[in-house]
Amino acid sequence: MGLLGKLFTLFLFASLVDNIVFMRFLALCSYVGMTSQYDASIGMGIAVTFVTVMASVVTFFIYYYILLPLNLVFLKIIAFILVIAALVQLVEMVIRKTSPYLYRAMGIYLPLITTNCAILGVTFINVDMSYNFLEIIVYSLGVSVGYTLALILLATIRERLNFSDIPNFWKGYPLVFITSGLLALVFLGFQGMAH
Amino acid sequence: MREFWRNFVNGIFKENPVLILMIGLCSVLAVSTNVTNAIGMGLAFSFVMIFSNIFVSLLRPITPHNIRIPIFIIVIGTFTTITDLVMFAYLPELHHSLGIFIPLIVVNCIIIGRAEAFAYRNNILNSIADGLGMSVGYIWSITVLAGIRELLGAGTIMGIPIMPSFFKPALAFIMPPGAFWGIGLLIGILNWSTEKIKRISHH
Amino acid sequence: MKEIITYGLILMIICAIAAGALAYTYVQTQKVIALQKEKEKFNALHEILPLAKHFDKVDNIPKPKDKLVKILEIYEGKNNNQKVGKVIGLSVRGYSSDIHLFVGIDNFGKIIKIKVISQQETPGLGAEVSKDSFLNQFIGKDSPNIELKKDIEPVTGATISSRAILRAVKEALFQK
Repeated sequence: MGLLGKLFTLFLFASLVDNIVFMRFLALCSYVGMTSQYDASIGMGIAVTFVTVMASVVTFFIYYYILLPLNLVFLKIIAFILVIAALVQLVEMVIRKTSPYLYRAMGIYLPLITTNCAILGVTFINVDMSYNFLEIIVYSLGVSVGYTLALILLATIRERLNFSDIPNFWKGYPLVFITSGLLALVFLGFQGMAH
Repeated sequence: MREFWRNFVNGIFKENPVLILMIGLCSVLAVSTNVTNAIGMGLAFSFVMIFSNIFVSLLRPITPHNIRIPIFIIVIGTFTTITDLVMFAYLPELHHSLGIFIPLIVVNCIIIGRAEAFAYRNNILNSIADGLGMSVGYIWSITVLAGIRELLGAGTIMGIPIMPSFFKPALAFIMPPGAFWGIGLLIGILNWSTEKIKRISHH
Repeated sequence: MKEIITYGLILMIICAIAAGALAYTYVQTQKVIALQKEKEKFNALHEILPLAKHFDKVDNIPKPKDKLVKILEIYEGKNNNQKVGKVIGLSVRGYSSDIHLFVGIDNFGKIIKIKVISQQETPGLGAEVSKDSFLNQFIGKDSPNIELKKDIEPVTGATISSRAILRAVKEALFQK
């Protein structure tokens, strides 16, 4: 299988088969918190995509050109998360300047992108799986697309759920999770694609 | 003393981080496939939670408001790395089972959330109480969820077969959908009981 | 301006303390891990030369006669300063992977035991060379003049993997 084929398979794997939300359980806080509004979900998806890909690139260089040669691998956790924090700060400034509406819609969840376990998780996976430069770009892109997909799916469902008649104690989060379980079941089906 | 107790009990039920505040869910859903892993994860989390609260509170005098977040991150990251290194050396099997969720403790919303909302504004003793309470709340939530998932999904608890032999485990519970259903169920039950208790106390 | 300098200084100090604490933890845990690895190594070697109480690593590793075999390490097994035998660690290219094995030889040059440490051969075929049923055929041999089919029965359907093991054992016997 040619290089392009391998990369495409990796992309499908990252976005569907091993979907970061439904299979790996990462990025759940933002998934549960942001999906009450459809617009905010898309904005979040785009922001996360940008930060994830950029963070993957920067941490790739930091790991292989600084940490490893200087025998400082034990500083990996702190170094990676500080890179992400800096990038999120950058994204926050850009969004505030270009789209105040989006800035207000995303509210506190914007700085919270730093604590998005998916982004940090991807930087760790890049290193654990020894992906090369091309692979980290494809993988991080795939994961972000899968994440955005998950957000959009739940957001659209939740908007319709708002009009349904549900007993009080199921309202809100319990139903969100039951629904997510069903979505996870669907994505489990993608595992067949791996073969 | 009363304040210490109040802050401690707070994290166990009223402001249970997992089921009420609903933060820090990633590790809870991912690691609750069996009770042993859940308890291991809970203890690792507790170590980082408690010591982070202590040091964030300790460093208050020299933590300017504008750069408090990076400082929180460094403190939490340090204890996470210590946990990672120590578990790798002394508990390699558990370290292998918990995988990337050990280093991911650094972005656990509970720890950063409590650092910002509590430890940064309270003294060390109360911060310890808060850290302990949140840890107990986390441990019992993740263990109960793991108990449900392991029991229904494999018929065992901590590897010991509990269910009778005619019980056919539903594999879905060990897989991702089960995690979502399990926690949805737990939150639903908790909401239902709190409503019931509220109604009873009003009569 | 003064603010930025203060912030920078505070961050630097906290970072330095954190890095120091982590470096210390890292060094200490590395020691523990190294100790564990030593223990595992000893257990593996002890399985091959049960009579030995401790093992000394031999420094000068000779060049292998067979270019396709790599000699990785040689240990002398001792019991109260009396040499009990030696263990030779070799690596040889199998059908689909490098096979890493230990060969234990006693003082008379006879093979005591062979253990395959790692291989990624075909499961059910080449991978069967790890089994004692195949490896025990070599026990007692002391001359490198051994051949497949004549002296050693290969694993059915895994001639290449079997031949690789044979090559490695022959090299070990050359080196005794």
